[in-house]
Amino acid sequence: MSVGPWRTALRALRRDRVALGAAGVIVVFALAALLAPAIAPYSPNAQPDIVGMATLRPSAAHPFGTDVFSRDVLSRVIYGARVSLGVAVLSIALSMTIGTAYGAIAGYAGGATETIMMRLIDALLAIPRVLLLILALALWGSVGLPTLVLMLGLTGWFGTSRLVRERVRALSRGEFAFAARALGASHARVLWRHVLPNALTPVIVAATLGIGNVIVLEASLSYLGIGVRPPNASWGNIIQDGAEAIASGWWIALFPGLAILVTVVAFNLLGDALRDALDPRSPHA
Amino acid sequence: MASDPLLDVIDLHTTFATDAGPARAVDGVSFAVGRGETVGLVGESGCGKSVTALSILRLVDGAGRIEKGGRILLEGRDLLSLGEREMREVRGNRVAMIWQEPLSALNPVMTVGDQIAEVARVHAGASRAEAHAKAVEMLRLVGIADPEQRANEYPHQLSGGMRQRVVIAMALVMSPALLIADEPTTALDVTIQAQILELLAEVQRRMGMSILLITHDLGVVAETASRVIVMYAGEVVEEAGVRELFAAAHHPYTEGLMLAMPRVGGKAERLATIPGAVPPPTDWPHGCRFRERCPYSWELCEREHPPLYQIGEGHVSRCHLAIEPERRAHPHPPIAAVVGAGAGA
Repeated sequence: MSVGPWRTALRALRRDRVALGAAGVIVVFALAALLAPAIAPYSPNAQPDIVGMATLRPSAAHPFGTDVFSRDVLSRVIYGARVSLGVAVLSIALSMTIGTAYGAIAGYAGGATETIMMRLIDALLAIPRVLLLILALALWGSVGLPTLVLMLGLTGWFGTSRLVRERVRALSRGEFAFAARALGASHARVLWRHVLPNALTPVIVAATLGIGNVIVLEASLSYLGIGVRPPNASWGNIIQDGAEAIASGWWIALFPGLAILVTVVAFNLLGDALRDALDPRSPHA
Repeated sequence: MASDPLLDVIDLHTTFATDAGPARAVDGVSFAVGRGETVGLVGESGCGKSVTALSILRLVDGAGRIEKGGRILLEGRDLLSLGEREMREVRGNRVAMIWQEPLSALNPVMTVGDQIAEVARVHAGASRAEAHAKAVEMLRLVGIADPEQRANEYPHQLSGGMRQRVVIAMALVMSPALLIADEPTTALDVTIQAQILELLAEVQRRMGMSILLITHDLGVVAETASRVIVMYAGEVVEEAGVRELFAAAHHPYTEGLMLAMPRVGGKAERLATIPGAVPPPTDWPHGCRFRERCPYSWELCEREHPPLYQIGEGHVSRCHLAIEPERRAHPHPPIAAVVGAGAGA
């Protein structure tokens, strides 16, 4: 039986009920997001009767009720999953890529290059991310989704680069990296084929935990009115709509709020389980 | 040794920058390795033998530096004059190295087949399929049963002996002219040690390469090498054919190493040790570097750094006893032993 480290981790994960549950929840939300047009009962932006159907309580026709513009909240939450999860996944992919590349170069290069690169990271980490984003987004004026992804991605990689640098630094001074060089591999090849694959486990954990973070971050920005712009639905701006009408329609803010809570908890649980499963010192391996 | 050696190291100096000043780890080393020959490079840890090996591969980066002036001729070409790209062509292709601890020399997240194939892909530009076929062929060559299956396994699934066979397979992919083996059996069980040495001898017969065998174990040298170079404190202190060396070691350090060797059938007495330790490479003593640990040293040894004296055919020794051999009859306690005993009391 051939057992690679990834397969060993996967096997450990499969025995972990909490992780399986979390992964199940994530799959359900991801499917809802992907299949939104097919499963949403109404169009998310349709306002069938702004006078007669506004702020209806949850019912069989509208399980999550309607909002002040008579839009179906369930449909908006489903379409909001598209935006919230999509933005989170894409921006995390971007920040993990940048962070890994930056950390890998710094850690492999060592010396003055490493020192300068990492002091820059220290400086960037000293600026609160939300502040940075609010500033950038406010200056930008109206941003589209691609710009939002770009900004979340560009402000999210500093911590990752630290994680990667530390691993790459240790591994590239280790024996098998040296042995590979002694057999004629170039620095680039040693880094790409031997060092990085061994340095990726903390990145995978950080990415999983990071998705939860970015979902909350995007919701906060949208809530503040500088993230995803109406009429596009994201969980954050549905909550904002609901907050304005909290006295007359509690359900408008409640359901997207629950959606955020459940997905973020699921991503965090899965991240923790991954950390255990991928840790070579953990008892499963 | 043939007149045209495969490897000719001439006046190699490798220095490391340390907080205590430059450490001259390899300090004027010259030796040659003939084609198809196995040469043992012997000495205790810290004597500079591994740094010599890494210098041949030009892999002493970081704080280390090979000083200008020396030459490392491989097949007539000076490796010290090559650019990094040309040097990469040499590594793994003309010169390959095997390591003391095979588990840490292998990538834990790559199958052993892929790791062997990697060498063929780097040097021969082999396709994925060709490289994989080569990996299986190499595993068979180094005596691993069921190579198709083993190729898909990871290092942690193999035994220590099998891992070392994999490391050897990686080194042999390109049929190098020179194989440098740095303590290849030290980390292995005794029974496995013999198998690995046998394997090395067999692949050498088949492929005709030269082997530079680095070890602290004279027993290993006696079994495999035809010629021995003894290093001490960054220098070559003695060089001789293996029979000559075991029959008539000249340098007191070599003599000490032999006395420290356990022998089958020997009397069950305590093994001899050489008192003291190798001096720090930042501060080689003036005169003979072995002087304080030597039972024969006299005033000349303090005054004058001994040259390599010709002792016999192909036998040189860096010891003044060559000019005053009668002193060997009158050993005295070495300075290090006297000082050591004084400090201990």
